[in-house]
Amino acid sequence: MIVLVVGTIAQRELGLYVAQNRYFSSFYFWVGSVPFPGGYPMMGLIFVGVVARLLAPAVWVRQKLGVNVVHLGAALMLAGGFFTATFSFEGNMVIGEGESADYISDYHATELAFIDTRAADRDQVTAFARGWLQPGEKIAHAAVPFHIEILKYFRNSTARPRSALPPEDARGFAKNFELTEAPVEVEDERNRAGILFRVSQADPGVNGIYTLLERMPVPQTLKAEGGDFIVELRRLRTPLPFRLELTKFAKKLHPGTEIPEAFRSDIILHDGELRQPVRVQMNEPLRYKGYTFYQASFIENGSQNTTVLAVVHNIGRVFPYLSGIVMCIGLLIHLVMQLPRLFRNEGATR
Amino acid sequence: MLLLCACSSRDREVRTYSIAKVQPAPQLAAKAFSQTSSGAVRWTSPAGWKELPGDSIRLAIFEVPGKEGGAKAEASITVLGGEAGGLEANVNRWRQQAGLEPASADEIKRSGKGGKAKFGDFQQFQIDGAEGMPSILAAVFSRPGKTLFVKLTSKQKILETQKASFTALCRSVRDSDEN
Repeated sequence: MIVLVVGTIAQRELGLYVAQNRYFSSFYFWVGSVPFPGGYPMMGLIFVGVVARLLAPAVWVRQKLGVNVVHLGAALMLAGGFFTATFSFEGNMVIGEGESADYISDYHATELAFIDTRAADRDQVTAFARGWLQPGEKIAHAAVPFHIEILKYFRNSTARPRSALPPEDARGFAKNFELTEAPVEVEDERNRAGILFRVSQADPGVNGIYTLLERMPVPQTLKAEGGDFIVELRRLRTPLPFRLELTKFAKKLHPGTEIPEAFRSDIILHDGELRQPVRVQMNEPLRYKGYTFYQASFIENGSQNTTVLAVVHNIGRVFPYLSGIVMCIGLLIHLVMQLPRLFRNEGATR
Repeated sequence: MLLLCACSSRDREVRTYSIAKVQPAPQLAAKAFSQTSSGAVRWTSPAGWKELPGDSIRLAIFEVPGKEGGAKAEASITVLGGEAGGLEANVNRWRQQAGLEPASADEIKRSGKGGKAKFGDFQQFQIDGAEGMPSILAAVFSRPGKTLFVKLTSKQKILETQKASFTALCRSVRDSDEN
């Protein structure tokens, strides 16, 4: 109850994402100098308690059958929560008309990606998740022909044109702009991560200090081993085993207003030889290979509209339905088993 | 315990995979701009200016001719998110680069010359550098959510000869779907 109250009130100040991570998707949190268990151990304890109850032979008596089935449904729901917390991910896809996309961008997590463009047919991506982007972290990987040392990382940052001469080993963007930390925004979508890192073990002209910001108009490029490596700080991308091409986006407004009533995306699903036209619109998502694509938003841009699809991949998605059904069955069993007693009591009062 | 291990491993994940070829940087510049704002940007390079590929934040870089065989100058078109620090801060930063003291907001407002382009209205500033310091011509376009700068840095003599070309470049800035 403390977790629920504290976490819910904190959402107002911290925003949904930070409050959820701090209180509900955590093992502990601090209230002043007192540690409290977070959502994970609390749910774990409840799950253990429910399962322990079900394992006790003494509770499996006829009169308690319905209640036990309800508890089984609760255990299923908690198990589903575990699978969702551990294995699910969600993000969005932004596709312009006439264009296609084959990856999902995470809403919050960031990554540092190195794209090897040397091959003629395809590019090779090596992406390091947020846990690698700590100051002092040293990165060396077989697919990246130079070493990286993280110097600074900010969750929200701005780039300010340099007013003084840059350091001698500043390269690219870092020559003209310096990275500064900015206050973290409550709405996480407004935060723009920034990173300062040092490259070594490359050519002398490439070794040096680089700065990257999320959503830079032009990504940074490093030359190494006869080719170009594009470097990006971006929201974590999950590649899809198929591609979606937006052929047309259409929007319908409420009559006499500029308020959208409905909008839809006409898409071609490309998967190997498959070319499947599909329509994604409000309340009619696309479900394919474990992914669900919802029509979330759009960007109007004169001649080219862009659709924004919310994408979820959740292996625990069936558990809430399953647990709901099991709990309903349990309640029905309990009701049916109580009926004779109810009729007996009613007869006695008459 | 399982959840703890899962959370830790996700944070330290290294993903390797292949993707379709990424576009080269110059095409990415205009296209990326369209993904972050209301549209890609086009311009008409002045005669005699050599356009070079953009870099991390500059959409375009120009090599500006000086006297024949003499020094050249550099111009650029840059876009930054939001107000990019504001007009006063940017003009005073250029003044500092030119070896001058900061100016007040009123002085800056008076020194700006308004101009019009299809991309929008812009404010143009000429900052004559102190002795031995570069001079700067700069134009600032403000759009909701972003600011576009056009800047020429050079010796005073080159700046005077290229002023008209600079203004013509600024007036030619437009969205990609306009001719």
